[in-house]
Formats: sequence, structure tokens, C-alpha cells
Amino acid sequence: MELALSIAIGLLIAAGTWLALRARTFDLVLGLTLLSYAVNLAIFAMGRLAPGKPPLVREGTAGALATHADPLPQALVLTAIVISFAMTALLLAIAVRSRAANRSDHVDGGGGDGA
Amino acid sequence: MLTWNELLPLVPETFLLGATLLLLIVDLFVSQQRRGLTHFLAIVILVLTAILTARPHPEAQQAFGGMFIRDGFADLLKLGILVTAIAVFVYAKPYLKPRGLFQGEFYVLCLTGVLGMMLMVSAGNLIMIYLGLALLALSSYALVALNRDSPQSSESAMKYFVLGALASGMLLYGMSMLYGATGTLDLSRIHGAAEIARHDQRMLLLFGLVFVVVGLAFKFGAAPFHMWLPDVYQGSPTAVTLFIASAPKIAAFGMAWRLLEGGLASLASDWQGMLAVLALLSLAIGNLVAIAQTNLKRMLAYSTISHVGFLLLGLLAGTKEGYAAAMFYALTYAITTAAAFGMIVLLSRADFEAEEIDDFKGLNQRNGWYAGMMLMVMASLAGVPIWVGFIAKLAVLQAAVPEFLWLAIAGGVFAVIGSFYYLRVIKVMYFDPPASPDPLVVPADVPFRFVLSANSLLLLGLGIASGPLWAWCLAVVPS
Amino acid sequence: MTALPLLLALPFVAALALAALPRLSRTAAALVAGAATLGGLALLGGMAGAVADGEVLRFKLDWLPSLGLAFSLRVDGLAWMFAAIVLGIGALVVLYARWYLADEDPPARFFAMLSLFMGAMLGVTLAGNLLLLVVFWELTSISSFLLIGFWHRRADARAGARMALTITGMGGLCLLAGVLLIGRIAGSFELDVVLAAGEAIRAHALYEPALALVLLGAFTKSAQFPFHSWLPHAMAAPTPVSAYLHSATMVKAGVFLIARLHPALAGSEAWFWMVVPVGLATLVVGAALALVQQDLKGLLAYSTISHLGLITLLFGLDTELAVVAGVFHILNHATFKASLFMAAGIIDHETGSRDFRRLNGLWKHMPVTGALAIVASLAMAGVPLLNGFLSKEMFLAETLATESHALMEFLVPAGALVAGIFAVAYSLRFVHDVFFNGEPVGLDRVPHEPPRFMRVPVEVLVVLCLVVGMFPQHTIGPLLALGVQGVLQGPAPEYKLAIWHGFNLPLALSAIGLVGGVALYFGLQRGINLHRIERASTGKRVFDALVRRLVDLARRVTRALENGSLQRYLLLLVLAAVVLGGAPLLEAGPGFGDPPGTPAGIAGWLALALLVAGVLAVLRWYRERLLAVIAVGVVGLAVSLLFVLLSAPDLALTQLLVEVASVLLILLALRFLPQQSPPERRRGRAWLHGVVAGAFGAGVATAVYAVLTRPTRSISDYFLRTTVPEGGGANAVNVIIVDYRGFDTLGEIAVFGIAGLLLHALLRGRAGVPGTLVPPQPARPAFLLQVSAQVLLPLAIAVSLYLFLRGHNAPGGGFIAGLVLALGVALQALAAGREALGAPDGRTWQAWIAWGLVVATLGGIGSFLFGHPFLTSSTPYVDLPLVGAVPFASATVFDTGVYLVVAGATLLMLAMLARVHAQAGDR
Repeated sequence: MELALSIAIGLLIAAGTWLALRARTFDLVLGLTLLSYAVNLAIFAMGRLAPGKPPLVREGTAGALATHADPLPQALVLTAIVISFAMTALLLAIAVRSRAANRSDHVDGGGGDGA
Repeated sequence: MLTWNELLPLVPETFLLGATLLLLIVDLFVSQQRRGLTHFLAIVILVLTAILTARPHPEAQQAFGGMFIRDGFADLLKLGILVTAIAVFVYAKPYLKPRGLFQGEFYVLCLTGVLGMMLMVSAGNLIMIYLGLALLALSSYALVALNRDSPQSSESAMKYFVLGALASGMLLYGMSMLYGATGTLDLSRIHGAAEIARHDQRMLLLFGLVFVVVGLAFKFGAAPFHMWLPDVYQGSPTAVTLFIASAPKIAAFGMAWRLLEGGLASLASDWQGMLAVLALLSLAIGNLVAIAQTNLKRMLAYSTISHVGFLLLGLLAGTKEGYAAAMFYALTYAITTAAAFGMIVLLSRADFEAEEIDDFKGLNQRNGWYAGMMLMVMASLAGVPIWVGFIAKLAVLQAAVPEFLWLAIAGGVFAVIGSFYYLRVIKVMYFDPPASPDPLVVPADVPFRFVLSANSLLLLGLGIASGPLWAWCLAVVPS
Repeated sequence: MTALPLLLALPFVAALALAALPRLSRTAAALVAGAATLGGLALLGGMAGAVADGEVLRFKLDWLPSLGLAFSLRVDGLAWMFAAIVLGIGALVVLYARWYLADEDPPARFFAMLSLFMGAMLGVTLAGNLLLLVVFWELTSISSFLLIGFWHRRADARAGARMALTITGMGGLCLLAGVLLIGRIAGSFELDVVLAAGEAIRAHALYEPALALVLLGAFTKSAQFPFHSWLPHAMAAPTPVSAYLHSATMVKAGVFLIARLHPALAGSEAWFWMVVPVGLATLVVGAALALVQQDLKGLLAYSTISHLGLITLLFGLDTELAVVAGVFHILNHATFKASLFMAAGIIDHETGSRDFRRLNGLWKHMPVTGALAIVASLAMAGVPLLNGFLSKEMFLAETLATESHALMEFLVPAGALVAGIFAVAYSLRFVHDVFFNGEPVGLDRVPHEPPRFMRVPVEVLVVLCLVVGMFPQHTIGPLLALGVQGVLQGPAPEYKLAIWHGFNLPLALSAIGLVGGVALYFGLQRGINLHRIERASTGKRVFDALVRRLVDLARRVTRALENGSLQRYLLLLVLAAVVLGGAPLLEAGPGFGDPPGTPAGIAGWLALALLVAGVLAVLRWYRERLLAVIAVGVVGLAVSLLFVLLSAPDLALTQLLVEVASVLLILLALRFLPQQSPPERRRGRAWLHGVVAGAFGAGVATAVYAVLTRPTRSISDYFLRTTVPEGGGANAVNVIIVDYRGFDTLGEIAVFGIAGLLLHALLRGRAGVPGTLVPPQPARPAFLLQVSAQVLLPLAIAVSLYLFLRGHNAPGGGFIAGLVLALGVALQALAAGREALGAPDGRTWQAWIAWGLVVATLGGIGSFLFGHPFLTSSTPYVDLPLVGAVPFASATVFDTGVYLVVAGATLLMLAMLARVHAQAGDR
């Protein structure tokens, strides 16, 4: 599964980057969203893959990495998810305002069409 | 586990956070006519935070198992950040007021940014660094877009945001690689793990390092990751440029030091090479392109890039003196920049942005005192002896010689080219006839006038009496 | 030794006083400046005895000890001699300037700048620390800039000032670099140490670069070829400035430095080959160009260049006698050249012109000035009985004694002879062309003698020329000996100061020079008429061209780098990352280990397939934006699924809810953006982007895989082990969030809350939303949706509460609960067709955020009041019906804050985006 997940992350990165390079604000939103998925998955994967071992420690048993997934990157990913959501919201607001001000959704303001 | 003692180091930050929230609530109930109260309270908050920070405390304390470190290094940088932020608030008021931007949100956002910066310089853990950075970045993005009426403002916010998001994504990715290679997010443990890393693990560390350096370079605005900087400096309201151009450089230095020296010292030979490339490019591009600028804010943006090059020169030396020099550079540069943008505010009117270099024409005839103050600022930026800019350059160059001799010489050469454009501002002020013969109308704001003059004179005073600050920098950098 | 700092401080004090009193009259201002100068001379006189006895006076104040920068002053013979020149000529110049300045010139400013320069120059001579010397060195450049540009309304003054500062400033930085190297080698910047470390310095690997850098500083300052051209352009300065800075003092700083560092740097092949050719070239080029000037001061400027070359050459020859000659010539040149400049200034002052073509036959009108100028010119030409002759004779003797490569043994004396001929010719021209040679042309006034006191300084200097020329041993002898000892840092060699050394080769050369010079001048005047020569300065042209090139280059670089296109910037950013990251990857290989081969299972493969399909769908339909949003949602779902499968239920739930919220936001925003992207206009670029993005993705994937195939060493074990006993909860992630990460979470929710406030700040107010952006009217929501939303809201509240209360032991917590609540409310509002959520200005949600943050902070701190550590929760559980055991701890208070913030922020964001719509629809 490691290889497949790595490839999936790579695919997300490539697609996100390509979309971010389109010159429209909306494509940027899509691109950055894909990129944030990729980064979140990557951080998460850094704790190694452990299917079926949620970090829920039953009363009376001691937790260990052998039986439980690494909670540390999970905590980091939580932070990252929250922050990327905030970023998405902010970008949307800026995109809407930029469209209103420039009559265009081109990222450089007036560079594109007026539609 | 967390105890009272562990929380003690966090008192300034906790206070700042709480006070900011209260200010947010208070501001909801303050009418526009009494907005001065928010301004006043914001400054009081900063002053109190500074007092809490300066309060003597035992050597190097930690909280949250080393996630947060309070040591002399962090304290000095925080004081620098806070003092600069106070100046920023004072300078911003006469600008914000006539433009309908005199709102509580400017203050709340700046204070949040300050909180982020304080976390950055105190971070002992990758999460803390990322969190501090996100706080600073988010508030900066919003500040840039603050002027709702300006399309230019939206556009620069967009640029800043998108590039910034990508860069912090890269930083985050780099951090996750570091975690993947060492199994820890704690910088001191990464340090330990990196030292004993086998070849193949080093490879992963190196890969993580690349992305960390990219993220840092972006935050600093070092070439070739500087593209956002000129557009953002120019496109933002001057009060905002004032904020994002000054204190964050201190925080960026603190973060860079924590990451590179604190976490990745054993990869020094690798990051020294990377920083050398960044420094050289920054010096070259910053100084060269600044010459062609006619807009003062844009020129100052390129000048920032070149100064970052100098700062990196100290950082990449990788010695105690080098770090202290870079620290000294960051601190003094922040207050110099604050004064420079303060001068732009001084000349601006409600319907007029004094951002063109030509707007300074004949300033000497219109107001000799402030022409003199601007002269101080430009001289310090140009690194003219005995202004503090010279001392800072001297310290950095000394740290870089002889190991990085050619880089230092390149720095010197570009500094000369650089003096050319600062000189032009001085020439324009003293030698050119003013566009309008009327004497300059100085904002009536007394604190503004006082702080601006004091700040400009400080650049000379700090140059002459640079000993204590330098000794302080030297003392707080562990050897 | 307190007299020493006082001596240095005096001119600066005077400068400050003058700057503070800008309304002073000319006399008063001159008196202030003059008093400082005379006071300085008196102090210097007091030190004469000690210095003559070979004592070195020192004063030291620490400045930045760890940087090696100290305020240390040091007076030995050389410093004393130079200080005497600076102050002596300074006093005369002050007197002269009192009469020279016109009524419209602001006198206080002039004298302030002059005093500033004097202080800086004194600093250069007295500095006992090389860094301090550099500081004063730069200060002389700056004050010279100000003085040259004194008449700043004149374009030539501004251009000249800028050129001088650029060239000397650049040299100053080279000097700084050189000094840094020397300091490194010698281990200190203190002059005492450096002068004693000559051996070590010359033996060091960095000796040549250090020497070259220091010499670059000296050469630019002393206007050596090819950096000489700033000096003629500096002649735009008022003449007292030219007399003082550009003949007697500042331009001598370069040769002073060469003399000063002589013990440390001289005595090597490199020294000879770097210094002598430059000095020789300057000597000859300056002399030749001096002859063809049409400007009085231009001639003097080129002559100064030539003489500076002569001095440089002497120091380069590097014998003790050459040093004697060099020091001697410094003294002599300062006297006769300053007097000549002052004479030129008098002529300019009284006739209004400095042009050789217009100034003729002035002898009739100003005989006294004429006589003085003639004597000084003869000294410049090196005619016997005048001081110039003596040092020139010594110079010629030294050139003949050159021991080096045969070519140099020929070139050096030959050059000296040629320069001597030219020197005679241009001196003659100065005399003949101005005072004789016909009548004045087109002067607007009848010239006459200057005011009495304006001539006094000239008279003093000319008398000095004569006295020294006739009785050298008794007049200049002791001073010269002092200077020489200072340079050599030891006893002076045997030499004889006399007019007559018998018939010898130098004398013959002198004679040839005299005769040849006279012949050359009259020959040229007869043959081609020197007045016809129109010559633009090559140096200036080159300088201007260089500056223009630089600005052009700057513009081009700007255009290439900064076209303002975000796309371009992004591409550069990604490319830079690919290159930087690719380098180590390609160099060392990715270093894969053995894949652990974790089984994916059917669900895993399904999730991955869903993810890939979603990504491909986004790429396929990105231009159809509504479809693209749905596809992105699918990708998000797949990511959540992966989280579940890989044992991160918390993440999955958060991801899912955040996903729903994001999609909602995106859909709201989409109403104000075009529904479709325009087609790619340039397919080539799209492919290029594809390649870059692909490379980036491949690199990242490789690195991730490399990590995944190596074993982990995680400290997380610690967290897992301590979770139950200490934290009192079973959900490790959640416990991490509340306990270990308590403060971190505070930061996180601060980020979240601030994001909400940001959106509020950005979208508040009408200004940004013109009426033309009215989106299509939303269709009335379907009845079914309305009904289901009615049901959904209470359900959402219930689920949210449940999640919140269970949070500590099962996936959930305040964070997720808050999101659930917000989504329920939003959905209900949307379904009901209401655009506004809460108060119209979003104040409700703002308050939620603020109070939530306060509660969370208090929840953390509050635990202290109960004697518990920050954000811990070890208090007993409370049993609630249906829900089960609920941990009632300070952590719950904290979670409440989190809940409020998250719900408030999400709702605020949704409300603000929805409100834009409502507003636009209003119009």
C-alpha cells in the first residue's frame, strides 16, 4: 500500500500544482485544496501506515506503537486541516472581492476577460 | 505533565492572547468617533506584554515538554518585535484615519500577527513553528486586503496569499519529511537524531531541509523566492506595509535560527551552501533592481531583499558571532524600515499617497527637520558609517570573512551599487526643487511626530552606542 | 591623554554648533570654524615635543570590542604631520572662504560642512584602529559629496558630487573588505598590532587580495589612474573646497593610507607591481591631460592627479629614501597646490571666469596675485629655489635607482622625465595664458585685486614655498623627519636636504625637463593653439555610460523577473523547489528501503481508486466549475476514507466535516465567479506547466515512498503509554489535543476564529461589491429539502451535543461538535431560503468566537484555581443518562470554548459569503 499511497500523493501534488498554475482564481482554489490533501496525507503517512490500529487505548492496557497508530502526526494533521480550511475560506473571500473590483477572475486582476 | 511552573514561561503570550480577545470584544462596543480608545489600548497591550517579557526570569525555561522555549534569545527577539510593533501602531494612525481604515480589525490582526511571531521565535517544536507562522501569515494576508476599496490591494493580497500558501505548504511538507526521517517533531530531538543519522536517513533529512529552506526563504523574501514582496509592499496600504515589512523579519530570523541551528546544525554544510546561493541572489537582484524603481515602496521592497541577503550572510556563517550579527541585523533593520515607512506616512495626505521618490523632491526646503530624519534613515539603510546600518553590515561581513570571503566581497560590491539608490532619495530631497513650494503639513499627531523623530535619531544613536545591543545579542546566542 | 580626543572633537563640535545656528553671518561662522581649527593647532602643538621624542600618543575607548572596533586614537610622527597639514591649511582655507563666499551662499552651512570634513580628515589621520579609520574615511567621502554639491542648483555640481561619492565610496568599501582581511590575519584591527604584524601579513595566503582591496580604496581616493576622473569633475565645488579637499588633504588620504600601512603591507613583489605601474600611469596621464584643459581649475586638478601619481610611485618603489621623497612631496604639494587653487579662486572671484580662452593679460589688473601665482607655479614646475624642486630632485634620483625588471628600470625614469616636461609646460601655461598672452576676452567686469585678507592665505603659503625651497634643513627638516619616522615606524634613513647636490643625473633630467617643457608649451601654442582643443572627459563618459548600462540592466532584469503575473511567480517558485529538491535526490538517489508491504485491503484499494478517479475528474472538468467542485468533494471523501482505514477516525471525521464546510463555502463563492473557465489559450504553456507539475509530484512521491520504506523511531510511544494513566481519557488523539496540545489547540482555534473574523473584515461593507455582480436568483429550495432541513437542525444539535460530551473518550470533542452544529444551522437556513445567518452584520458569530476564545483560555488557566496543572482533566466522570460517563473537568470547559469558536467561525464565514449575495441582490 505504501507505493500506491505515495503515487496518490504525487498525483495530488501534480494535479494541484497544475491547477494552481491556471490563471483563474477558482482554479487556484481547486488546486490549493488538492495540494492541502496531498500535504495532509503526506504528514499522516510519515507516522507510517497502521491499518486497524486506531489510537484508542482501552482501559487497563498500555499503549504502544506496535498496537496503535502514531498519534503525533495525527495531531499535526488536525492542525493542518484546520489551517487549510481557514486558508480556503480566505482565498474565496479574496477571489470574490478581486472579481468584484476587477471585473475578472483572472489572478492578475484585469488580465483576463470581463465575463 | 503540565504544571504551573511550566506555564510561567508562557505568561507574556497568554496575556497577549487574552488581552487581544478582550480588545476584540471591547472594540465591538466602541463607536467610530472613539476608535482612539482601541488604538490606545492596543499600544498598552504591547507595552504590558513587553514588560512581562522583559521581567527577569530564570534561565531558559520550557513549556509543554519543550514545545515552547523561553530563553534570552527569544526574549530579545520578542522585545524587538514588540517595540517595532508599537512604533508601527503609532505611525499607522495618521494614515488609517483619513482613509476610513481606522478600525479595530487592523489592531486585532496586527496583535494576532505579533502573537504568531512570538510563538515562532520561541518554538522548540515543528508544530509550534507552523502554528506561529500560520497565525502571522493569516493576519498578514488579511491586512494586505484590508483596504476594501482598492483593487490593487485585492490583487496583492491574492498574490501574497497564493504564493504564501504554497510556500507554507512546502514548509509543512519539509517538516513532515523531517519527522519521517527522525520520528520526532521536537527540534532538540531532531538535532540529536540528525547527528547520528545514517547516510540514507541523511538523504531524507536533506530533502526535508530543502523544503524547510524554501519556506524560510519565502518568509524572508530572499531571492529567488522574493516575487511576492515588491507587489505586496506596493499594493498594500502603507500602514500595512509598515507592519509586514518590519517585525516579521525578526521573527523570520528567530524561526530560521531555531530550525537551522536548533534542529539541523549537523546539516550545516548543506544549508550553508543553500543560504549562500540565496544570499548572493538576494544581494544581486535586490540591489540591481532597486535602481530602476521610481516608487519608493517598491524600492524599499527590493532594498529589503538585499538586506535579507546581508542577514543571511551572518546566518550562514554558522558561528556564534555570525548568529549574533544576523540577530543584530534583523533587529536594527526592523526599526529602520519602520522609520522609512513612517516617513511615507508623514508625507501622505488623505487623497495622496507619497510613495513616489519624486514626492520627496525638495523636502529639505519644505521641512528641513524631517528631511534630516529621512537622511538618517537612508544613511542607515545604505550602511554609512556611523549609522547603525553600518555596524550591522560590519558585524555580518566580519562573520562571513574569511570563510565566505568572496560572498562578502560580492556583498560589499552590491552594497555600493545599493548606496546609489538611497543616495538618489537624499539627492532628490536636498538638491531638487520641490513640486509644490508650500511647507509640509506635518500630521498633528504628537506621538507620531515624537516617535518618528526619536526612531530616526535612534538609528544614529544606536550606531554610535552600539555596544550594549551588540553585547546583548552576543550574550543570548548560545555558543 | 585627554587632549587627543578633544583635538578630534573640536571640528565636530564646531560643525554641530554651526548646524544649530544656521543664521550666523559669514564672519561669525568663519570665526567658529576658525576657532576650532586654531584650538586644534594649539593642542597639536602641545603634543609636538612628545612626538618629536619618538613617543606614540594613544587614547583608547572601547566601542564594540568583540567586533574589533575601538575608538582608539594614535599619534606618531606621520599622524602628527598629517594632522598639522589638515589643521594648518584648514585655518588658511577658513580665512580664505570668509572672503570667497558670495552673499547668497549660506555661510553657516558651508562652514559646518567644512568643519565636518576637517573632523573626518583628522579622524583618518589620528585613527589608531583600522575600522575606525574606515569609518572616518567614508565620512570624508560624504562630507566631500556635500561640499562638492554645495551649489546644488547647478547640474554639474550635482553630477560631480555624485560621481565623486560613487567612486570613492566604492573604494571605501573595498578598503573595508581589505581591512577586514588584514584584521583577521593580524588578529586585531589596532594599528599598533597591524603595523607590527607585517611579516605575518605578507606571508599569509590572503595577502594579495587584502593588499589589492586596500590599494583599491587608496587609489580611488587619491584619484589614481584609471579612477582619476572624478577629481576634475569635483572642481564644480567652491574653490576653497578644491584647495582644501582636492589638493591638500582628502585626495592625500589615499597616499596617507599607503604610507600608514607601509610597514604592514610593503616590501613584496606584489606591492611593487601593484603600486608602481599605477603611480607611473597616473603621473604621466595626469600631466599630459593637464596641459590641454581650458579650465583653470581643470588644469590644477589634472596636475594634482599627476602629483599624486608621483607620490604613489615613490611609495611603490619601496626604498627608505623613496619614502622620504614621498613624504616630502606630500608636504610640498600641499603648500603650492593649495596656494594655486586659492589664486585660481581669486581670479574666478574677481573676473567671473576660469576659462583660459577668456582670461589673458591679467598681470596689469592684479599684479600681486599674479606674482604669488607665478611663484607657486614655478614651485609646481620644480624650478630651483622653490620647495617643488627639492622633492622632485629626490624623486628623479629614486626613479633612476629603480631596481627591478629591466623594462621598469627604463620606464620609470622615462615616465618621470616625460611627466616633468609636461609639468613645466602646464605650469608655464598657467602663468603665461592667464597673466600675459594678450587681453581678457569678453569679461563682464574690470578685474582688480581681491580684498586684502583673501590674499593672506596665498601669501602665507607662497612664502612657505620660498622658505622651504631655500632653507629646507632648518624649516621643513624636523617635520619631514617626524613624518618619515612615522611611515617607517623606525629611524629615518640618512638623507641630505640641500639645494645643491653637485652635477648629477637627476639635475640633468631636471634641466632637460625645464627646457623641454618651455619648448613644448610654446611649440604647442604656436603650432596648434591650445585654446582650440575641445576635449570631453573620457572618464566622465565612461562613468556615465556605466551608470546608464547599470540602470538599463536593472530595468531589463525587472522586466524579466517582475511582470506582475502570479502565474509566472508560481511557476518560478515551483521550479526553484524542483531544482533545489531534485539536486540531492538525483545526486544520492532516493535510498528506498524494504517496503513493509502493508496490505491495503479491498476498502483501501477502493479509496485509492476513488481518489485517483476524483483527481482525474477534476483535471478533466476543471473548466466546468460546478462539476469540478463535486469532483474535489469526491477526492476529499476518499482522503477521509483513507484516514479511517489507516486508523485515524478523528482525522477522518474532521476532514469530512471540514470538507462539507469548504464545499459549501466554495459553492457560495461560485455564485460570484464565472461558472466556467475560459479555454487554454496557449496549449504549449499548459504542457510546460504539466511537465513542471509532474516533476514536482514525482519528486514528492519518491521522497514519501523513501520515508515509508524505512523503519520509524517515534517518540510517540511516550504519548501512547501516558495517555490512560495520566490524561484520564482513552482517545489518544483527543487527549493529545486537550492535554498535551492544549496550548497548541488554543492557537489552532485562534487561527480558526481569526479566519472567520478575516472573512468578516474582507466582505463587510458594500464598497467591494458593485451591483453589476448580481448572481442568478436562487431557485426556491425544494420542499423536500425544506422539510428535511427542519428535521436536520434539531438532529444536528443533538448529534453535536452528543459528540461534544463524548469527545473525551470517543472520536469527537468540541472541535467536531462545533462543526456539526454549524453545518446543521447553515443547511437549515439555506433550505429555508434565508440568506442571513444570525445578525446581519455577523456580530452574533463574532461574539461567539471572542467568548469562545475567552472561555477556552480561562478553562486552561482556571484549572489552577482547583489546583490542577494547566489543561489537565483528572477529575472524576459524571454519569449522564444516555451519554454515559462524562468527564467533568476543566478540559471540558476548554472544549466548550473550542466548540463555541469553531461553530461561531464556521457560521460567520458562511454568513458573510451568503451575505454578499443578499447585498448584491438588493440593488
